[in-house]
Amino acid sequence: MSIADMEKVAVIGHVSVKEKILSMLQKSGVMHILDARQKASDEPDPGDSTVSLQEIESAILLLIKASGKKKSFIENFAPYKEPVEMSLLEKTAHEFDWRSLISSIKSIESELANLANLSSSLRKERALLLPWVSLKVKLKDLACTNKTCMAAGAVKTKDLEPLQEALFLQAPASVIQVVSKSPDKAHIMIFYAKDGIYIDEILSKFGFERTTLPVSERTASEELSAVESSLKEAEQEKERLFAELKKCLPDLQKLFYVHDYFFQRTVKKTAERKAGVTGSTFFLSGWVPKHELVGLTDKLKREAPLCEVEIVEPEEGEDRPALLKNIPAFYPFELITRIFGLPGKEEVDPTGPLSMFYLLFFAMCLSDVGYGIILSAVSWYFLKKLTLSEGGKKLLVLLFIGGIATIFVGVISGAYFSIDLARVPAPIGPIMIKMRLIDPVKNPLSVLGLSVGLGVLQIIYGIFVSMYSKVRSGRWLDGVLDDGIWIFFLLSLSGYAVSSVAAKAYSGVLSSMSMIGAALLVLTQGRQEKNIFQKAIKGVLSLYRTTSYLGDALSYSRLLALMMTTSIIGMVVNIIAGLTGSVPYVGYFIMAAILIFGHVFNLVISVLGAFIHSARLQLVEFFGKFYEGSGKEFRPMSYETKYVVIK
Amino acid sequence: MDWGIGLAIAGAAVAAFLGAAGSAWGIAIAAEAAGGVITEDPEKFGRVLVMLALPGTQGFYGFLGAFYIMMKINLLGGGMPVPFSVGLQLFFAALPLGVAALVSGYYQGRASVAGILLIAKRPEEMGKAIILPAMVETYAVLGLLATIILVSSIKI
Repeated sequence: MSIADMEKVAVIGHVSVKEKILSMLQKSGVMHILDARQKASDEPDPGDSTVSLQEIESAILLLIKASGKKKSFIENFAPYKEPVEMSLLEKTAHEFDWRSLISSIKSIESELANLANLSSSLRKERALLLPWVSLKVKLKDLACTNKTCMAAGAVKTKDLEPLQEALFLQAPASVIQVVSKSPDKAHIMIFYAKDGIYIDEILSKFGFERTTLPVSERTASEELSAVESSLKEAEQEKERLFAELKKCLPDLQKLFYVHDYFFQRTVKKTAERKAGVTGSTFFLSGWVPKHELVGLTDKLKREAPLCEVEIVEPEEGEDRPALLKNIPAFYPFELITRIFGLPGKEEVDPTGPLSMFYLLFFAMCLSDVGYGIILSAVSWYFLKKLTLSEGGKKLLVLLFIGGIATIFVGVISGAYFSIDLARVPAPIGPIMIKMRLIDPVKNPLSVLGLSVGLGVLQIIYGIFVSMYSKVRSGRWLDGVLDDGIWIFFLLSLSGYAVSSVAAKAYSGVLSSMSMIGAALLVLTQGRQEKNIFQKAIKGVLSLYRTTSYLGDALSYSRLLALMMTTSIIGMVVNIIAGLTGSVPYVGYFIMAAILIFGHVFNLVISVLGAFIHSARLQLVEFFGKFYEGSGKEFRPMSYETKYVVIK
Repeated sequence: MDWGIGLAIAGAAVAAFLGAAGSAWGIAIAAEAAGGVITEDPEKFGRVLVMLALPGTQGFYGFLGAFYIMMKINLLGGGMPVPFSVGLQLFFAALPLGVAALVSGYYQGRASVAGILLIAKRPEEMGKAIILPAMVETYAVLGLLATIILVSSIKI
């Protein structure tokens, strides 16, 4: 339906124009390049030995960090990219002395890393010294003498007294001095006679952790202040380095250009490696959309006469890469198709068929005029303001038209920020009530019927699309016998179900039609089997598929559930806000705050739910009838950028 | 003692707290995985946040069910007399939602973890990652629907 026709082409030329041809292909961005070598080699990509993209990137990251700018939540999803001409990128890469900038940033980076190491070891030392500051002696004097020894360390405070007792009993020639004590740890020094009882055993029994204090001419507190002043120096040094980095900030933009310029070269190199080469020619193989082919051929031949573009036959069983090409109305819904996978060789593009259903289901799940207006306005604002990737743009357009559709469904379900319409003054209130055709909260069963009915409709439509695609590819017998009869059967069966509730007069006719349908299925579904028994069994068993269709149809009941979620949570927000209106003086402020916060919150979770569940209905229930999504994506060689957009 | 209204409130309470507990559980599991991914790559915060919000809906479904039962017995408008048998009916009607929300909340959290890990490696596949936990949520929705249909068809 709406998949671009592809031609497999071969571009053959003299090696002297290889570089030029590759650049032109990249600029036009219409050729999906295949590996043309006889044997894919395993050798790793040599990359560009003169430039390291990683080095440029890490310099950029450091500068961004130094700039201290925080990314907003939105920017995480859609970072701003400046549109730039390729010639400017090239000029910057050649004229701007980025190598020296990078190397100076790199040296700052390594200095910063050293500083970070230094500070962390200083901090460790500070933690070590801190408990001992009350000691008045020089640290080096805390050493063993000829007859005595000293152990410094920590025990748990609750173990202190038992330890003292044990030492008193088992090693009388020892003294404990408590240096500092916190609720859970006590730092102590133990002096003991060298030839006395082996004291370590007692100590380890009480979980004593030995500390090795530095040997120094100074006391612990003097040592500590020295450590602290070096820490401060390190901190100042760090600030100085960052200040130096900030001086480079004006060049950040240029680094963006340089990075993306060399990024393009890497892309080109990767494509170049896929080319087949002889002594003096090269050969590129790939796919080009049919409508782009003439333009591309003309351009290549005009600019580089030493080349030839030829259309070649695809190999047996080779599938073209899929490029979706839909009319603008369906364009944003390609997003949903892409979640699942792109159409393969024989398949139709499901984007058009799913779009109206998706839109309707999305609107039903959200179903509030107010929310629809806000959603549309917000997505419109972001569409205008942000530079977006293809996917981001599709999402916002989808949300925008989803919001518009929500307004219509909201009018039908009488939801305006979930306000109780009976309390809206005349003449607006009564008009709103008159326009309300369904009410999920008061009368959920009718909306349930509507949801499941829409489900049946979409399932039958899915089978119809399956029939269409079979007939189109020449298998019209399969199309009519499998899908055609199922459509007839399901239509008459659901017609019977409806008529038995609503219009009894027709139910007789519809019931016999269903019988005929079932009989036809039994007769035809076993036609692939060889003998008559297998044919009969397969035919009868095929009716079992009705239950799976029933399950699919019931899955659409989620539309009611999501519709109710939106409106009831909105109602609760209104009720809670109403309760605070009577608070003296600030009542109205609290009420406004609750209303705004509550409805924004409800809007966000409802949009998320509406998006996901409507998508699921397409991917699982609808696609299951006709779509496999076995295609490969069309990925032309083009400009791939990280920081700028090449015009 | 008025057992009818007590049982009805017990039903509303069961729906609300089981749903909330399921969501809290599921989100906590997903948040642990999310924390790990954000440590490696803080830029993924936004994407990962969406994933870990997915098991949050059960709490709302539970709340919604509770509110629906409250509306049924007009509790906010001062309440109405509820016979014992009706109260019992309302209590049982609340169970599909409460239990389904609790269990699916936990398992949706685990499915979200899988999605978060998927995003960690292939952020461009966010669409597919979102669909995985949504498959689990279907059954919370069915529980909610069962409760709503049951409650709406109980006659007071």
